[in-house]
Amino acid sequence: MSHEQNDEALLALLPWYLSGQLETAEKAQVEALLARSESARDELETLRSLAQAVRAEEAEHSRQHPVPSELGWARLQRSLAQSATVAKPRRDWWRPSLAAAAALIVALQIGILARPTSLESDWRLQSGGAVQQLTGGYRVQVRFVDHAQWQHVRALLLDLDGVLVDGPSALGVMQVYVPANRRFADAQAMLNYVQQQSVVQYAALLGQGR
Amino acid sequence: MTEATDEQLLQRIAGGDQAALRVFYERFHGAVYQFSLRTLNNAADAADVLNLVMLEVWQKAGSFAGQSQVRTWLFSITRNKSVDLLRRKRPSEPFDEAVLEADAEDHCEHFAGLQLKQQGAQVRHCLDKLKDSHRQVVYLTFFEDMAYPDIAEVMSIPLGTVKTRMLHAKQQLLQCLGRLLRMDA
Repeated sequence: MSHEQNDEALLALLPWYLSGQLETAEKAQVEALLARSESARDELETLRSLAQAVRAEEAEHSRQHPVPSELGWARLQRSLAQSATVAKPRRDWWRPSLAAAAALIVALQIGILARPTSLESDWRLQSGGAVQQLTGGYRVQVRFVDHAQWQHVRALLLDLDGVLVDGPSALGVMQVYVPANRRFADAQAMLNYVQQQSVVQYAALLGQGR
Repeated sequence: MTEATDEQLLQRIAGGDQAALRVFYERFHGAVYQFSLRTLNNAADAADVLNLVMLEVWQKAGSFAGQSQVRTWLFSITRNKSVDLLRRKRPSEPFDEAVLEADAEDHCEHFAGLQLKQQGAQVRHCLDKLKDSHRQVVYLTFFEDMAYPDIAEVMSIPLGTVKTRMLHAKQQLLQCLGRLLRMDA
């Protein structure tokens, strides 16, 4: 590395020299550069002004957006209590198993629910090959609590007579088709019921079929 | 309990100690919330992320390997949760592409045209113009006093990329704030 390249590399470390976050060897190299280079000293002063301006604004921004301290803790406690209603795994093994189980559920549903295609259909089950079209009903986005396991998802689907049409995403979000029937007076009633389930973190109506 | 180190708290949390989680929450919830807010620009979303992050701490404290600082590990979780939420809310806009980049040349004119009266508002305007990932590097460097190897770990990027992003962010901020900084000098 030439002297110029070396100096460029050291100049790139100035922000962390300024914040006192360089290791001893790097700090010594930067200080040697500052001792011999006026332009490096100018650069440091410019950075110092910039850092002061940024720090002041970030501090003000933080003051204007206070942290939801007690509310946040109360919410976390509710989430912990909610998650305690299901078995609490100590390792994060459920997500792949949930994804695999979800895929299995989709596959089973495709086999069980295969029906002739309807021209009035609104939604389709996702699959690699056969496509199941579903008529009417509601399309609901559901996020399950982090501790949820696939049997909880399956139990809710059975309860709703629902079908998993997409997901879970990395955040555990799924799209579920719920058929319109006499059980729920309307979409809101259905949504309220889903939201009340202990394994559901949130639910939102994405669409309503004909 | 409040005297416990971050690592000791995580050990207790891994054992199911909610009192330790409370201390951990008190120690870090501000930093988690504010960092998430810098990514999401939405207080409600940042509060959601804070909840998700602390839940993950509760669930995964036992998986902390101790190869990095607890704070670095926590910021990494926070960034991932924030980016996941951002992608979920704006699926058609890849992270980082949503923020203006091409109009850097216009910053000073636009900035002057706004006739912002307060210095803080001017700085905020310029910070908001940065790409998300550049703003995060600036925030972690100047506000969280985080070393660049830790920033690389939080953001899952090479060390060189941290320096490059800081360089670009600095150039863009200086261009945007040039007049202001010269007035202060």
